[in-house]
Amino acid sequence: MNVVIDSEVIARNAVRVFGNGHIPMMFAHGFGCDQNMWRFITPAFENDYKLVLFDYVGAGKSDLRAYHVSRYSNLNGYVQDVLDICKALALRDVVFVGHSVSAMIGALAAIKEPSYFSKLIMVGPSPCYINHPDGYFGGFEKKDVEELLETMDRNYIGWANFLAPAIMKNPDKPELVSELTESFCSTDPLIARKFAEATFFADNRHDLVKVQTPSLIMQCSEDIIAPYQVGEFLHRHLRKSTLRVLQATGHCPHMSAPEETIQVIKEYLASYSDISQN
Amino acid sequence: MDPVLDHAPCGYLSFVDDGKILDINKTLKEILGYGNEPFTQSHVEQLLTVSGRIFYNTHLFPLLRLHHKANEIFLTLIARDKTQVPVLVNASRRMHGEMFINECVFIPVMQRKKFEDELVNARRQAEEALKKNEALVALTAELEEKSLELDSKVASLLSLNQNLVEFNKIISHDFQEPIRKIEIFARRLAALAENPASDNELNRILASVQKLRLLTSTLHLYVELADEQVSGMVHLERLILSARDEVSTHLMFTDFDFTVENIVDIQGYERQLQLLFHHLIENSVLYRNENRRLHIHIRGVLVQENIYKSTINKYRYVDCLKIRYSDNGMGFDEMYNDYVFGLLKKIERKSPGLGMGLAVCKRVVENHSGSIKVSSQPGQGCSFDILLPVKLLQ
Repeated sequence: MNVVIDSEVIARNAVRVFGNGHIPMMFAHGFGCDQNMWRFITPAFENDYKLVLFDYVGAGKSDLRAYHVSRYSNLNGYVQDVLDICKALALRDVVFVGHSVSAMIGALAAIKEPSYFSKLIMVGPSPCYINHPDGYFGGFEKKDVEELLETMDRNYIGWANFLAPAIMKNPDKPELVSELTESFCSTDPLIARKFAEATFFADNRHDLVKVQTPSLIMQCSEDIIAPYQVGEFLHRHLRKSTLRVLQATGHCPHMSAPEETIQVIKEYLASYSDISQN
Repeated sequence: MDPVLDHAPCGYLSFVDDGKILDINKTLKEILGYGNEPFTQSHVEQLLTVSGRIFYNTHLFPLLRLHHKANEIFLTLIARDKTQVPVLVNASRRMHGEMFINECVFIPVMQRKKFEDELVNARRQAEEALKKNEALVALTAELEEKSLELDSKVASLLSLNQNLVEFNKIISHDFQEPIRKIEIFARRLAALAENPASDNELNRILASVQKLRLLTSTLHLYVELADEQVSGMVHLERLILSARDEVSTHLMFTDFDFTVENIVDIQGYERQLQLLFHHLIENSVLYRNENRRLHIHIRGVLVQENIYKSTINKYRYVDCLKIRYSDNGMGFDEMYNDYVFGLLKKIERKSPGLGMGLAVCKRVVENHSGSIKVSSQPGQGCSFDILLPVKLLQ
C-alpha cells in the first residue's frame, strides 16, 4: 500500500504514451523481453488508440534503483507496476494486451481494480506452468524450470559479450546500438532470475474465477510454454473469455506472425464494438 | 550444401521464423548421433531440451528477431539417443530470397561445461555472500535507526494514550453528573411551569441533554475501540446480515434490496466489525435517495496486498479480503472523500446522526490493519473499498 508519486512512476517504468486515439491500449511485455517486442504490432493501432508502453522494473530502460527483491519476488510487484501506471496516467477502461506472464499480471490487476480495464488480450497466457498431481497439465515439470534457471545463469557468463560485438560491428546503424541498450540483454541477471522464478513457479489457477473483465485468449499452435490444454483450461475458467487458436507457432506470435496477431486482436475488438452498439 | 560447410568443424543449421529447419550440415547430424540414419527432425525446437525450448522462445528467438543476431548462447541439444549435448551457439538472421532465414553454428562444449559449472557456482556463492553481507550491513543500520524512531513513537503514543484514557474517563463519568443534574432540574422546572412558551424552551433543553448523552456515549465507545483484545474467526457474511437486521429494526425500514457476494470468514474483532457494517448500512438507509428503491451491494474478492502502509520500500504481500460496499443513495461530492471519515464530521448539518459513523468505521478498519476509501457521486450513490487482512497481524 506504499504510496508512489505519479510522475516518478513514468520514469521508473520508462512509460511511453503515443497514438492518435482516445481509448487507452496498454502493452505489457513478457519474461525475457521489454517493450521493444511490441514494435511490429503497435503501428497497426496507433491511429485509433492511445498506446501505453512500459518496462517492468528490472527490464529494459526501467529504473533499476526501484527494484526491491521483496516487491518483485512474486507477481504482486509486477501487478502493482501496472496499477501504478494506470493510476499515474488516470487510465480507465484500458484494453490491456499482455504477452505470456503479463497476461496473468493483467488479470490479477483487473481483479484488484476492475474499473481500470475494459478488456484483457492475452497472448500465449498460462495461469500455471508446472504440472500438478491433481491432473492439471501446465506443460513443465519442476525440474525443467530448474534447468531453465541454470541455462540462464550460464548465459550470463558471457554477459558482456552479448552486447559488445553488435555495437562494435554496426557503427553505421546507430538505431541498432540504441536498441541494444534498450534490449532485454541489459537486464540484470539476478533480476532476470527472480522474474523467471516469479513467472514459472506462479500458480494463479484459483484467481481465474475472480476475473470479471472480458478476455481474449490468443493460443498459438505448438507453443511449448503455453500448450493448447492450458489455453483451453483458461477458457473454461475465465468467464466472458474468447479462445482463438492462431496458425502462428511458438510462443511469440507478435514477433513471428505480427500480421495474424494484429488481425485477431482487431477482429476481437471489432466484435465488442458491434455488441456494444446493438 | 557446399561440401566445405557440410564438413566444417562446427554444426550448422538454418531455419525460418516458424522454426522449420531448412538445412543442417553433416557435422551437426553427427554431433546429434545421426551417423548413417536419416535425420528426421523438422523443427528447431525438437533439437532442444525442455528448458532449452523455453530459453529459445523467451530469449534466443526474440533476440534474433529484434537484433538479427545472438552470440555465445549456451543451449543444450538432445541427441538421437536422448543424451544431452551442451553447445555454444552463434546465430544470425538475414534476408534470403523472399524470406528471412536464421542461421546458427554450434560448438559442443563438453569439457568447458564442467569448468563453467564451477564458475557459475563460484559466482553464485560470491554473489550470495556479497548480497547477504550488503543486506546485513544495510539492515543493521536501518534497524538501529528504526528502533530509535520506534522508541520515541512508542513514548509519545503512550502519553497520548494516557491522555485519551483520562479524557475518556472524564467523558464517561465526570460529564455524566452535570448532564444528569441539568436534566433533573429541567424536568422539575417543566413540572412547575405553567407558561407554554417556557415549556417549549425546557423541552429544547431536554432534547439537548439527550443529544449530549448520545454524543458522550459514542465518543466513549470510539475511544474504547482501540482497547479491544478479543479476536477470533468471524463469520463475516452472517455478521453483515445481522448488522442489516439490526439497522432495519432500529430505523424501522425494511424496504430495500441487499446482496452479499463472496464474503469469506476472516480473523478479527467481531464486535467492531459488526459496528463497521452497522454504520455503513445505517448511513445508506439514512441518506437514501427517496426517488428510488435502495440497493446495497456488498461484494468481496480475495487479493494479495502489501501490508506495509507507511514504510517506504518494504513489501510483504498478505491475503486480504477486498470488500466493495456500494449503495445507490444520495451520494456526495468527491471533495468530501477524506472529510467524511473525520470525527463529528457531517456534510449536511441538518442531517440526522452525529457524524461519528464513518469515523468509527475507519477506526475499526485501522484496528484490523486495513484500509477504507470512499468514492461517491452526488445523486448516484457511494462506494466504499474496504481492505481487511484475512489474518490479523500480530
